[in-house]
Amino acid sequence: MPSDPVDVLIIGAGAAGAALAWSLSDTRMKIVCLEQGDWMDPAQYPSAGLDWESRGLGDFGLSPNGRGRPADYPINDSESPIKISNFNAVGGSTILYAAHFPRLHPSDFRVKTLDGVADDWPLDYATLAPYYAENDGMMGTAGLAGDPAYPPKQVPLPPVPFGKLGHTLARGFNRLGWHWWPSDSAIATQEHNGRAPCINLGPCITGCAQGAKASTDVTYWPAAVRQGVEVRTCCRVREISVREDGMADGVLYYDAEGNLQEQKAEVVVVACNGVGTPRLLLNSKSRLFPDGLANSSGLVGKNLMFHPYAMVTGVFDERLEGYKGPTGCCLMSQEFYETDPARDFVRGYSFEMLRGRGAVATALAGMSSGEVPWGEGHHDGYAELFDRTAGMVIICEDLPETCNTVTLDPELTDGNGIPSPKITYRLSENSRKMLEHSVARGREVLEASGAKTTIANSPLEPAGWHLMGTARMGRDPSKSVVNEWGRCHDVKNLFIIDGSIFVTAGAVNPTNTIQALSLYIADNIKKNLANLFD
Amino acid sequence: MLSDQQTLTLVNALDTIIPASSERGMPAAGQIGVAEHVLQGTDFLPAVAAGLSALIDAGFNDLDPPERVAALNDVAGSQPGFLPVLIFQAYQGYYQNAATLEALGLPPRPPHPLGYPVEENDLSLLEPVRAKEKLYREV
Repeated sequence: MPSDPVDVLIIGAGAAGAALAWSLSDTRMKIVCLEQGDWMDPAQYPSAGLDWESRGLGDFGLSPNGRGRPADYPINDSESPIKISNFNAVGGSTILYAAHFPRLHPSDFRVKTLDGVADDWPLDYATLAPYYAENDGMMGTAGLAGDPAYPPKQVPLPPVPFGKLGHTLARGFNRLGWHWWPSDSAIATQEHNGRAPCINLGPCITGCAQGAKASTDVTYWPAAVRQGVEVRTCCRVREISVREDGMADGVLYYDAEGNLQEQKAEVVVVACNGVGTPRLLLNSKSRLFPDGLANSSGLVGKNLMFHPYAMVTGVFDERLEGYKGPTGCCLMSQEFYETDPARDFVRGYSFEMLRGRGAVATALAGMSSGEVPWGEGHHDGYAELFDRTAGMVIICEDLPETCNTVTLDPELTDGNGIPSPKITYRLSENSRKMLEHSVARGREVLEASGAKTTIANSPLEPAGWHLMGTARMGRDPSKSVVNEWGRCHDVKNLFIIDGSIFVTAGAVNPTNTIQALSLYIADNIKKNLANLFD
Repeated sequence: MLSDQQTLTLVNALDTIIPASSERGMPAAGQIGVAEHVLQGTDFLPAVAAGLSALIDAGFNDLDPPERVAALNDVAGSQPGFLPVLIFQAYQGYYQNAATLEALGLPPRPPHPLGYPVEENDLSLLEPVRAKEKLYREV
């Protein structure tokens, strides 16, 4: 049964969809967002139970393939050394993210010009700067002004606490003379916009029961809903339909009861992340778009970029109280961020220092490594490790390559019979060299901090949580899918606003940039309303 | 569901996997109820039950501690799906148990709703970084 047409239909209620919905809500247009997941209940998050670590391996785990929640769809990532991590709910992957919130750097928008690889974005840091600032205010970014790794910027909230662990690592960085700075974190360190401040629970990545971590269900969405935006949950879009004139017409979707519904719309906005978006476009074939919607360039699903991650952990003699504080947000280093021609790779990486492992995680890591045997030596081995580990994840910049793709799996489907995505990805030689360099530097700073031993895991297999590049932006329709303000070259009333539109990946978490772009695109939609489809 | 004898054997097996340590003040896994955690599992329980039956057949509950270790290793050889699963579940159940957390010096409670106090930041540590030249490239 078709519903009454709406002005703007947004597909996906994650980081991007929320920001755009809020920004457009002041136009009083009729805006509906379809989200295949549901609203989360913070009272059900694992941190309220003693079994919080176990649940992080179960229903709040990283991989949709292992998690099996009703809103999950299977993903064939067997041909990728990096496995996909996403989350479908109102809030999207911000429900599980660690809330690292750095910006891209000016150079990240000019990689071709500066380093002779990849491409330049059709916009720059200066253009996005006011939208980063707006997003920092809405989400509540904690950090500290004065970072020499960035152009001057303000941060609305004071930084997250370093704790004993962070202070120990800071001294290590200082011994080497390396850059470090308090992490930009989307975590309310003071009361902010009605949200309670962080009380250092620890397990941010299984949902914040306190509401201090800025997932969009507690930031943008309440404001957008108050201004009249309608969010329909448990609604999974099957395809975007088009008219004979080549304009998007609306969508077909399965409602919570599994019934196929139709929603007409004047404007359709896709915000389904770097895997979900190309999947939807490729599933929206028609006579006019036999290779997938908006895909005359052939680039929908191509140039998939992750951030190849490594993890380096140090074991210390002293207890570090690492279980206290936001698990992923503490200190960050961009000492090796910019390209250095003396190195044998281009571009660079960030260190994001991590809090310590929980009690269960320590035991299981020790079980795998053999350092915590069962039986007689168990407690001695455990005592060497528990609350004595600190480390980092290393975020390496990935370069766009057309061989890294999201396509449709020929056999795998979701619970509604919609073809699932297939990931084909390989690490480049540049990434391998970068990982090798970064692990060596990671060991170096942990040893300078006092670590007696270090362990490295590279590349980190479950780290496919940053999904970018698969519907890239650009001015040339033969080399891009959307223009500089997110409008599809082929379909003038179809917009894409998630990480798919990234031209390069940078070496930082993408969420702040995804949302800044969404706000920028929303602003352009509002400015161009009179001739939006020209 | 396990029989009473299988349950008793499970408790003794858990005590063998993670024994008590008076030196470190740590309890044995079976004595603090970790068996309940194991019994919540479904997909691995048949393998565990089969392993426990093999231990019973070997007279496990009448053996002294070193002999119990040997018996577990023997059954692991003949029942490959048993011991790794039991060790994983033992570690998981033990280290999320309130008694264990208290013995480790942690509050015996989940993180929420009390959280944890953390010391104030010493921002003077940033002075060497503030003195650096800018790290980003102008465009």
